[in-house]
Amino acid sequence: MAHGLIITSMVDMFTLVLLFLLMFYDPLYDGSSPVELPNGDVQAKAQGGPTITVTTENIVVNGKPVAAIRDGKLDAAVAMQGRAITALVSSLSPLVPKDGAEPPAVSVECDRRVPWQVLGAVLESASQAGFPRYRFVVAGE
Amino acid sequence: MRARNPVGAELDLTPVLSTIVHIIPIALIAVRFVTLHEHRLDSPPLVAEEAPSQQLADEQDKERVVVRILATGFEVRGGDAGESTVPCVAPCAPENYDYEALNVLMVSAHARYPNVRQVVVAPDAGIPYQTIIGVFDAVTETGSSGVRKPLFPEPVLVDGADARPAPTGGP
Repeated sequence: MAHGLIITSMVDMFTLVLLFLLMFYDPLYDGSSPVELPNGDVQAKAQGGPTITVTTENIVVNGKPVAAIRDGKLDAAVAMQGRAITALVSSLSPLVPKDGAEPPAVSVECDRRVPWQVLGAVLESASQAGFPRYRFVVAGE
Repeated sequence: MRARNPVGAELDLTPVLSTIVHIIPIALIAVRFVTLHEHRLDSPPLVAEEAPSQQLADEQDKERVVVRILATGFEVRGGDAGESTVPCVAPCAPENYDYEALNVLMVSAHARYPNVRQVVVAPDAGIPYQTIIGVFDAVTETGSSGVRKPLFPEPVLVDGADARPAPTGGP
């Protein structure tokens, strides 16, 4: 009695693998990201929350650029309040919980090449906006 | 006329399988797996206006470990233990700072002050973020990836200009 190969289980498996891969597929990713996260040995897993992304070219809050960086320094046109960046404070302030609840920690995704003078201004801005706690996201091994 | 779907006929999955087999390698090439971790900071960076007076700072410094990140290496002030410098192992770039030597200094500082949880990290203006994270790794934990012991789990970032030893007196 002749029987064909039963491939239903294999199709099921392939379908699941395909769905898993499609979930993580980013068609815009061209192999180069604007942010090169530093490598770190810390074990704590990254969590969610408001995100400040600092590339070598600009500062982005939840996907919206708020300040430009030129040659490793804040652009001369960026308005400052002391050490804080005015536009960054304005962008973060509406995200502070209005019900008096403790604000969540801000996730800082910063390029490894960004100097402290820029990062310090970003942290000072977050602090002035009402986010005194930070999480520095790093790439694990 | 022949029935379109005769009873008992098996669905021909060969084209579907062929398509999936082609898509999976393409998706595997495009996907990248990155595990994200994080360093947590619960204290905002200190600014000059909030810095304590010299007298108060001196009292607090008795049990305070300060790591300055300079363009030439690390400078560690550990209360009564005085000051140590850790030069770069090669022309200073983020990968050439001596994080292992810094970690050894932190282990001895932790042995002196086992109840202290904070360490002050003070980078100079041009220090890149990768170096700051390397210092965080060195001051917060020690040991291999299998067995890790906490050292100073609550690093505090201070601007390097504010962490320079004041010349004399205070307000």
